[in-house]
Amino acid sequence: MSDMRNLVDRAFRTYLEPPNARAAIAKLDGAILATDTALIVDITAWQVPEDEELMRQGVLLEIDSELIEVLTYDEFTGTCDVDRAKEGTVAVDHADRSSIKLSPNYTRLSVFEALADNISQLYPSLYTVRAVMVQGGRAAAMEDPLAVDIVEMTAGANGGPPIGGKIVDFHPDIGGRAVVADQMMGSAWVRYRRRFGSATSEDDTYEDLGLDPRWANIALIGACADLFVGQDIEASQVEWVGGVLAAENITVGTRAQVAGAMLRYREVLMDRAKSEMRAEYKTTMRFRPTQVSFR
Amino acid sequence: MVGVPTRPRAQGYGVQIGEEWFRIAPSSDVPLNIYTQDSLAPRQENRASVEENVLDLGIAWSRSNLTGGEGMDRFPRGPGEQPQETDAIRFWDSSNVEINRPKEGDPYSIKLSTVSTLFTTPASAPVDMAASIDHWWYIGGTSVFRFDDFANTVADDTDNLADGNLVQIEASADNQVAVLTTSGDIWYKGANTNTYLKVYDQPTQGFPAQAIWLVKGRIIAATRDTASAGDGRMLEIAPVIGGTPATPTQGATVITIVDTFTQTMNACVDAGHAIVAAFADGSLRSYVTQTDTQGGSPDLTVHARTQVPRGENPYALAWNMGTLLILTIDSDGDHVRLYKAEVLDERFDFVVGDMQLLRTWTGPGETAPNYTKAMVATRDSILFWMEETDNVMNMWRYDLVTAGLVRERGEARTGVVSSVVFEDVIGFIDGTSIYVSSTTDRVAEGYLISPILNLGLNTTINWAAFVLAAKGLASNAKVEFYYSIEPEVAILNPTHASWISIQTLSAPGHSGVEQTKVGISSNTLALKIVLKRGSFNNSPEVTRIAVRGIPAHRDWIAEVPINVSDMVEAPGRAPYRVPGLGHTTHSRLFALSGLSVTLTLLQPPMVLHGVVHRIAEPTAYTGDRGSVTRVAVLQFRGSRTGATISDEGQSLGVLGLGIGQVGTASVGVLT
Repeated sequence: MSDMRNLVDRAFRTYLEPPNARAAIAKLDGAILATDTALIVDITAWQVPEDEELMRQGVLLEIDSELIEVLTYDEFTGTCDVDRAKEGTVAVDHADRSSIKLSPNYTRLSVFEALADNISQLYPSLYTVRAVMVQGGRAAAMEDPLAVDIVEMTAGANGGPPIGGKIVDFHPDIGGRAVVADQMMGSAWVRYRRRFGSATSEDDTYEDLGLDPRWANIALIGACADLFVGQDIEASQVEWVGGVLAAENITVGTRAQVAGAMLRYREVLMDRAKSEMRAEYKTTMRFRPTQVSFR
Repeated sequence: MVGVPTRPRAQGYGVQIGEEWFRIAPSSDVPLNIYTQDSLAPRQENRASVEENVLDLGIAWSRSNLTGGEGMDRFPRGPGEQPQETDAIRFWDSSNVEINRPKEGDPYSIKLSTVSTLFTTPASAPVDMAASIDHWWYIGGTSVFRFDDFANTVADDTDNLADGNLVQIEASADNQVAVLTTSGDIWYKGANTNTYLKVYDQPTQGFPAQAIWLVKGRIIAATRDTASAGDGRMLEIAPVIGGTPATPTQGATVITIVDTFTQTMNACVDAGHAIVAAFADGSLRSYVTQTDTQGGSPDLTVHARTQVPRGENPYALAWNMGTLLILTIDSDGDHVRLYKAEVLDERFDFVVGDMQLLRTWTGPGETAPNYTKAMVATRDSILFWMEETDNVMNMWRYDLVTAGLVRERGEARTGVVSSVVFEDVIGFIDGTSIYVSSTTDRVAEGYLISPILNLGLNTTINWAAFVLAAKGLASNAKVEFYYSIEPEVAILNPTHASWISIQTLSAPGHSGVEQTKVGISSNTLALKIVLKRGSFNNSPEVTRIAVRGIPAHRDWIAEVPINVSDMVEAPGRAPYRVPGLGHTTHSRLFALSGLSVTLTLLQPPMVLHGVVHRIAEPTAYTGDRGSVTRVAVLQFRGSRTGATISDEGQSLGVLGLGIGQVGTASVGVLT
């Protein structure tokens, strides 16, 4: 299923934490509730001995999407007093054996937000087009909150002559978003452009956001570029990302150029998507009688 | 405290030192180096032959000058033994070879001793001989025979004293002669006369004389009351000299009792500052005239007394150039010992001091060695005789310049009772005949054995090459060159089965040419040369023997760049920083300094036993991709073992090296 959770996972898997640059991970020894202020780390499951050195006061742990601050740590029992729901995250229950990211470079919340931003920013360069039939006088309700502009409107249920109109956020007769026609329309077909929704949850699907799955990669590239900017990207990560980009003929030099290269890649993908979009959403050419005067 | 890794290789560790695991960070700037090196520091040995510095690989032992004498059983000396100046010119053992200091312009060489030939077998058996600057004498029966040279056997002068058989003759350098008869009378002739007169007539003047000496121009006699074993007297017998030429006057002798003793007076010698006498009670007594000290009486006065080690009887003395040699025999008669001493000056009351044991002889089968009292001092040597094997009397030479002791000549005689050196010819009496050394002809065979050599190394040595240089290789003369890798037993037996031939040199073309050998490995080695003459007057002369060894074991050196940064880099993991981790790691590293531990390197897989030799201060370097890493280079010195890497170190297939910023190693031999 295509939703924000999958997209976030893909961002980690593809760019942020590739297989040879995984984050330091510990395991939760016993489930905790959203209200708990202590947790137990499995002290037999350290992947690398130095990982335990990260269990010190002030270090942020990430379980699922919640960021948790370490207050105390007992190396003999693994018991850890914590401050929950840090950095704008929300305290939730966590299951036994949940992975604990130790002082992660990229938090899941940040990645989600970067993806949400980049999906929103695809418009106006990219948009989708949808057609609905409305019915009314000069105004009819527009149910789609992402609709931003009318591409074409024709009178009649079976396609009559074109009529002009626009989409407004509020019409007094409708009491909300509405399609306003130049003339009485009765039943009319409206083809309109849609922008992309702002994701609020990892449960949000592409459908919810109005995101064409083909363009998810553009948002992904943009989000990772945003995250890389200003970061000291690890060498292994540079190699990995460089390899991914090289497949698209995008050359990465030093690590400082990684973010720039990804933004270039994003533009390439964007241009390609625009072409595809224009081909798909051809604008109807309509000739109106024009009064021509020759003077 | 960082925990113990459960899967070191998978977790990115590179090396275990003792119980501690560390990550390593080799780079092109700070690579991982593994090489071998001599287990000893570079040495400068300038006391020995310069040839030892010529060879540029391995360590050499090379000798031309061996005038320091025998008795050096091990070179270099073992731990705790103080090296001596002459160690580099000494060897272990020899027989029938001359190792003399060369004349100016000649090289040092080792050659066969001259052979001795029968001079004469007189009708009356010769019993003693003496020499002055101009003549030599022997006594036989009742006569004294004088010779001016060894050219023919007809005496140049014969004096029949007609006072019973003669038993001892003494001569001074200026031709004074004193003779002792079996009845205890003493006859004497002055320096410039051939007339002997009795100067001591025992029935009228005292007890019978048992021995006489001519020292400092004085006649010294040891007398004993034959009826009372305890009443011994040391007399100075001063004949009244008169007439022209000056001759002693019969019966006008002045006799002075110098000292008394209860046991036998064995020897008396002019020892420079004083006259030294040896007694069977173990005492060495010094006598000085008062005119030599306080300007009083010219009579000899006993000044000092030294005791040789308890139970030993000093039976022979010789002195020259400040060196007093003392031969003693112990009360069991099992051991003869040679001591070197000095007569100290007036400040120390002329005592015989600074006595050092030079050598101990035991007879065949640990029975009493036969020995002779004959000790002869020449210009630069002191000679004496010792029967070390049945029916073979060996003449030993003590070199007064180098303090070297050499078994120079072996004579197949049952006993040498007396000997002289006259005009560079050695003459000796075996009881029935007089023999003289040839000035040209050489003995058939002689040998020399080196010390046990280990080149100062504690490890197995590959003895790679040998050098023998000799000249005089004509008329079938040859030199055989042997080695033994069982030197502890081989040096005690010149015919031991472990002596293996290296080379037989019979032509000068191969002299000094290095003979390379393979498969000769041991920690210690001894060399032996056997010289064999060609014609009678031809001896090969060995001018150099050398051996070159290459340590078979060399220390392994590992220079390991230990990652002491705060960054943690592990396979498959994004590096992360643990503040303070580098300091902790460096502290752990320093705690290992100087420890004797095992070092386990995962890549290349290698286990070394040894010592953490050196830990450098951390240095930061910037890698090719811009990462900054702090590295402290650890130098480990030890031995490589055949141990395999632990299972924990191999538990995962992901190698710790070659990932991330780790990946440069070099393996080789430091040249």
